[in-house]
Amino acid sequence: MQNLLMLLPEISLISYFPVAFIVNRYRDNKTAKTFFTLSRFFLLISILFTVIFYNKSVIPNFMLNSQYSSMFKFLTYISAFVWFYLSSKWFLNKNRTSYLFYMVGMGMVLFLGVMISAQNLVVLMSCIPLICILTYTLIKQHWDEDKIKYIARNYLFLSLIFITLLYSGCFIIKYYIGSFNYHLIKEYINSTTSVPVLFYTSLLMILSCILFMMSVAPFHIWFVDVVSVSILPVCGFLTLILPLAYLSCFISLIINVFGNLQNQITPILQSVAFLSLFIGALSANGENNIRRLFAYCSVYNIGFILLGILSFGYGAVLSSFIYTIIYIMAMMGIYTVFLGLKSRGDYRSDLYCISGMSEVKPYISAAFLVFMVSLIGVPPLLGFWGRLSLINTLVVENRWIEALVVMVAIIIIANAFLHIIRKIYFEPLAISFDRTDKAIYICLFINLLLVIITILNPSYLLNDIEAIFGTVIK
Amino acid sequence: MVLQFFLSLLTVAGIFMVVPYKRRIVWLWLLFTITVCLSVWYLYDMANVARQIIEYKWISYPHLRADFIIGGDSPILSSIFNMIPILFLFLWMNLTFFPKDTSLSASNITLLLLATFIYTLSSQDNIQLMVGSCCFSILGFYLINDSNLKKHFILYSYTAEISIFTALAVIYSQVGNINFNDLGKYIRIGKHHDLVSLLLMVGIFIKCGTFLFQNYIIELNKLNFNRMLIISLLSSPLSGLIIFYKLHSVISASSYFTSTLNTVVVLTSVWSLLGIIWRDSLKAKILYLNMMFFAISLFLISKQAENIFIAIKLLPLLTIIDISLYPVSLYGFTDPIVSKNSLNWYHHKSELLISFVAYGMLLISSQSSIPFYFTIMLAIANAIIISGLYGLKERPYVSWLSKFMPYILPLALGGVWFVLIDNFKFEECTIYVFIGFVLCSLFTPQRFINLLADKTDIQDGDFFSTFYHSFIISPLRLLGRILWLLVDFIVIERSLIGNFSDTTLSGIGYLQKIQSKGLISWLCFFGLGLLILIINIGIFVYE
Amino acid sequence: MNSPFALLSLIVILPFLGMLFVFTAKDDDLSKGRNSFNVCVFTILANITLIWRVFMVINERSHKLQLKEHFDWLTIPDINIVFGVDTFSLLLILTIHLGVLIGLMGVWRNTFKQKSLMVFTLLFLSMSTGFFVSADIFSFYIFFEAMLLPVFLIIGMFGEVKKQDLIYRYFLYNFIGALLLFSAIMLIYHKYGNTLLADVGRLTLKGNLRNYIWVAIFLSFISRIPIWPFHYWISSINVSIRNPLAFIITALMPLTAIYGFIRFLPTSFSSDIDIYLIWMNIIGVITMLFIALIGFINRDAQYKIFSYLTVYYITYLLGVFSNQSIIRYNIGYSLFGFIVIISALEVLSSYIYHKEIEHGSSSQGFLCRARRLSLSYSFMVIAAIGLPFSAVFVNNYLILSNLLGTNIYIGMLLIFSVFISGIGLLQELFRLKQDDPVCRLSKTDDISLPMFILMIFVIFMLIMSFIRPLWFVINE
Repeated sequence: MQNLLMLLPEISLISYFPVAFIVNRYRDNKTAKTFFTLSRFFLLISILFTVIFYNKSVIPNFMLNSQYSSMFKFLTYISAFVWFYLSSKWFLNKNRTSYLFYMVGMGMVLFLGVMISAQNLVVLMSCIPLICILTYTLIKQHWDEDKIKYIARNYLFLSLIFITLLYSGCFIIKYYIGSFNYHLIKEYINSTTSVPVLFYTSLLMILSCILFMMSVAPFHIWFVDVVSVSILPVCGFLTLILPLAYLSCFISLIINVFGNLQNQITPILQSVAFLSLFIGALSANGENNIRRLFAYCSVYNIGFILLGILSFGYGAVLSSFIYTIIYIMAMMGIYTVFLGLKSRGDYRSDLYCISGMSEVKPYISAAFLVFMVSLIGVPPLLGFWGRLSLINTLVVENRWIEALVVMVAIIIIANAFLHIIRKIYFEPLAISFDRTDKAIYICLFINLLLVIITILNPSYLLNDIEAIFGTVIK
Repeated sequence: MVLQFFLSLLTVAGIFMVVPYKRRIVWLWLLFTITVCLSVWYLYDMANVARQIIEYKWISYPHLRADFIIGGDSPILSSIFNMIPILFLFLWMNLTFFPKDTSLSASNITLLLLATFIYTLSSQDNIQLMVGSCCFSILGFYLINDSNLKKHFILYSYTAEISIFTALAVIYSQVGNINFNDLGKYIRIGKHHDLVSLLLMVGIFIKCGTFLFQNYIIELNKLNFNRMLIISLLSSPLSGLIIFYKLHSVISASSYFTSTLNTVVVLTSVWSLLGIIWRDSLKAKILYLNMMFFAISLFLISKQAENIFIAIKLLPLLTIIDISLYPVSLYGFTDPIVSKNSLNWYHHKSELLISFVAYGMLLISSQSSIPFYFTIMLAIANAIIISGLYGLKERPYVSWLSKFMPYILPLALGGVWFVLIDNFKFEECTIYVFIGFVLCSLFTPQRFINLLADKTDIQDGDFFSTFYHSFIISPLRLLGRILWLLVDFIVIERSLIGNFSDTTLSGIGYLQKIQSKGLISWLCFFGLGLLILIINIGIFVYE
Repeated sequence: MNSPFALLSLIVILPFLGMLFVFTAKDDDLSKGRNSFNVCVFTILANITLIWRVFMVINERSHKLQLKEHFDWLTIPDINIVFGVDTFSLLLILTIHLGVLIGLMGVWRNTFKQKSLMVFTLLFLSMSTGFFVSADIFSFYIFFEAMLLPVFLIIGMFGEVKKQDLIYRYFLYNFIGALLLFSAIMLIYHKYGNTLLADVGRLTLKGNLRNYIWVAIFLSFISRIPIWPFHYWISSINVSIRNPLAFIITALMPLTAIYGFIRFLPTSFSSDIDIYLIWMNIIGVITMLFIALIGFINRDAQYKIFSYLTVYYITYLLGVFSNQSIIRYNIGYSLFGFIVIISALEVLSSYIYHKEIEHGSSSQGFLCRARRLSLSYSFMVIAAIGLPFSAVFVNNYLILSNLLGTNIYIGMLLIFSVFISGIGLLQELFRLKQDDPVCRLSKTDDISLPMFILMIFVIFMLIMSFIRPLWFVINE
């Protein structure tokens, strides 16, 4: 019984499915908000129990609830909660059923939560394919265009390849160690003076799968294509919810499990990080689709985060985490703004549509500006803190080349954002916009308030986090 | 007392700048001004003060101590006193003969010019000297009511100020002090004497309107007579003399000083004589005469700095000469053309007599100070002007003799008084010069000079402006255009920025192309990722 | 002395609060931006009052930073925000406030996006005030970069710059400069921790680290000054801007660079950088000469004002590098008069330009009947060219003397450039004052009474700054 109580976060999430199914089947006057209301309820319970049972684990060999994993779960659930709320507005405005979206979304949240707590490759092998299938389902939602089918199929194809790689890698490890347990893997690596080539290869296979899920270049293309054609709730979900979970899993793997192979792993991570930075920054410059542009921006930011983690040290991981939080907050704001770009019932995503937006939507434009500038890292906004932490880490560790690369990439991405700012502020109004929901303004206001509070007093966020990361990075 | 005098000048000028112009108030004002001037100086004379200095600490910065000083030794105080007749003459002239010429403003500026004269002559440091010099230029500028003339005036003045400013800045950089007491230190240990001297000389020459720089002064003949005279006598040229006096030791420290100055003085004197001969405008002739006087003054000061007091003493007499030529220009002509307008000397013998007396006073006062050849030149110059004005035949004119008569007397009395206060002594050669002058004035073959009046090239030609335009301004413009094309357009825009922009745009273009190919781009990137993994494995194996 | 009422934070935050107030204020077709304009002016006046209050509190004769305020900010990295002020920085804060206030007079009839203009102006004011009160390297950097965005937005929205590329380049090159400064600051922080600005000049750095840090700092500041090769886009932007407030704000950017140099320059130079200083002097003088000549031949009044601006900024820059504290302070005092003159000149020039467009003719002879405009413009030009009506005269005398003492040839070329740029301004003045029998302007086209009163106030201030120059001298 006690063990079951500790599984309440997951149980709560699982409970959503039958309830939602029943409601969908038997309730007549359901709206798009109905499923959000339901999901909200179960999510909040899940959050509550995550906090309560933050260090209680039922099957610690497979899933370990520590301060670290609980923190990431908490953040993932909160982000999901906020995005679900905003997505409900989209569904309401479009007058579409949100049943599938919330079902899939909650499912993904569940599996992400499990993956965060993973202490065994079996968990990864279970969760990742399911997450891929659910992602495929999410992408396929609302078959409005042929392009969506085509991209979804490509995604499935590619994800199958990477799942295969993941499985292969895991089984090779099992071959060498006889177990999928993180702890045993770590012991094996620490005890051997030089790991076999195949073992190393398997490690890379696992990492490549996670890098694919994180949409790190050169495996990013699915993410960019998906975001450019999917419906807005799906785009937001993929951009805002997944990175936190994958990052936590990634950190856990490479630091706690593969930490001793730092020298061998660093070159590959460095290469992909550089690629992400440059591909993300350069590609963002040529884009006319705002969502695609910000998708590239996400790729760029992921590269940034990866670069920070590379030294595997406490400071590096902490600064990457700080950057991630700031990035999520800014992107949340950006996607909230996207929900305000409605014209004649359509949510617009082309760059042309935002021309002169500041004339009719000054507050949304201002918020957009703040978040974009924060992403560039211009002080005194929050993004500066992220940039500062990360670059400080690079300097402390004498990683001059990375620091230089980062600075160049910042300049390139800044140019892309300047185009958007120019469109919004310098050009005359191109289209008329529909009235924006008050909820959008409220969310933007809360986001900005959080940003301001964090800028003025970052220590309220940092104090506990430092301790938490201290337990992870030994 | 000198401070009170200075302040009274400022006060009166200030009050009447705001009081609206009415004729009866004007006369009251004139009376009041004169009373004040005379009273103060009466007191001064009674007190017989040898030295009077009032200091006000202005800047007390350790590296820049500048004080506001009024007054000085006896010669300075005497010079200030000597300027009072000029003030009186100009005020009287403005009010009497130019009632429509907003005479109040001209008179106000005259008062302010005298105040500036006191301020500048009292200076004992660079800052006060420069401020005074600028004030002279600005007040002269305000007197000009023609935009083109204003433009030329300020351009020349600005050039002179910059020149002087630069020289004084060099001095300050060498000695670290702006006080004139340290000029000796600069001469002993400082560098760039020749440069400083040259800069100061250029500034002074521009201010005095010497040869090469006379255009902006001569052009003033287009103004009304009173304004023209005030500027040419009391404004920039006078400031040039003061600067020369104050910085004489520094200027003369250069080895090129004597030759340069003498050359300029000679050229100026000759040019002004030629100008008097060939220019048909009476006002232009008067300006050339003044130009000659200032050249001579420069020569005097070059010999000994204190000779400025001689020049200042002679200045009122020059003013009387100029004014004595003035009534002619009132014959209904805005620009008195000598060849077309002359007076019968017999009918106007009183005016002619005044001119002779005026010149005579100048001759007597200057007989022991000015070198003989300059005295001759002045005599010839005056004679040519007078002979041009007065002839046997009388051309049509507007008779205003009845208006003028009451005012001859103060003019004459003033002149006589002035001579009386000076030591009166005749030298023999003076008499001969005077006789020669009278004969020349009466019997100069003016008809040959009048032939030049028809030559428009000589009358309207502006050789120096053309020279400046062709050899200074146009090359500067050309240089500017070349630099803009070469540096900005070719080097920066087409090369540096162009290449950088093109490279970045190419990179973006390629990436876009690659990423827009659908499944192919997916596979390409996947392949790239695999490649990276394989390379890393290869490196791992190798190590 | 520590600030009892967080005065410095207050003068930084007040414009920001004003900005929020303006942002949320209601403005419709009836008010046409009047509300936001009034709030902006009121905010600036209130801040000037506070600045005056700070002047009363501090010891004017002390070189040290006073009224220090310390805010703990980050723990990793360990960074705090420190504010402090001395007479020099306070004077510059006052200068920018006055400059912006004068600029506001030039746009008070503007109806195009007036609210946005006020918002960004106040944001710029807040950031630039923060810049001048910063007392440590990170605070300095934060505000140094933060002010770029409002400048970019103001230029883009109100500058009427035709080539959009120029605006990008302007921002990006300034941004690159800011990033270079960031890298240098991170290195200093890495070695010495969070350093106060007063201590930066005394850091003992060696080898490649020293070279990189100082080169990065140098490039970051120099990119804001229109010196070759950075002059191209700065000049392209400045001469295209027709909104006076936008021009003034853009013209304040080199001021931040000069200030940065003054704060960061080492207390003593080693002999091995002498050669670089000589090259800098040469490049500076050639740029001045070049831009002064272009200003001379160019008929556009805006370019003449820009060339005047450039010449003086480079003069100040070369004065900074003479590395004497007396000269540095003189530069600060001179900048006060200089900025005020530039602001007034630009407002008047812009007014004339708009009248030109309104009447559809050349502005030659425009000042024939506009007496207030004529008086104001004439005075500003005369003060600008360095005649003794403002503190510019005395301070420039000291600065130029010092430069002449350092190198006579460079000094002479410098003065020649100053002369040429002055001639350019005079040319423009006389073109406007040329006698025109058909005077296109009528008395109603003259500047309004409030604007004239402001100009009289500016004239009064300039004259007072001449009558009492260096009133906060240090008695040594």
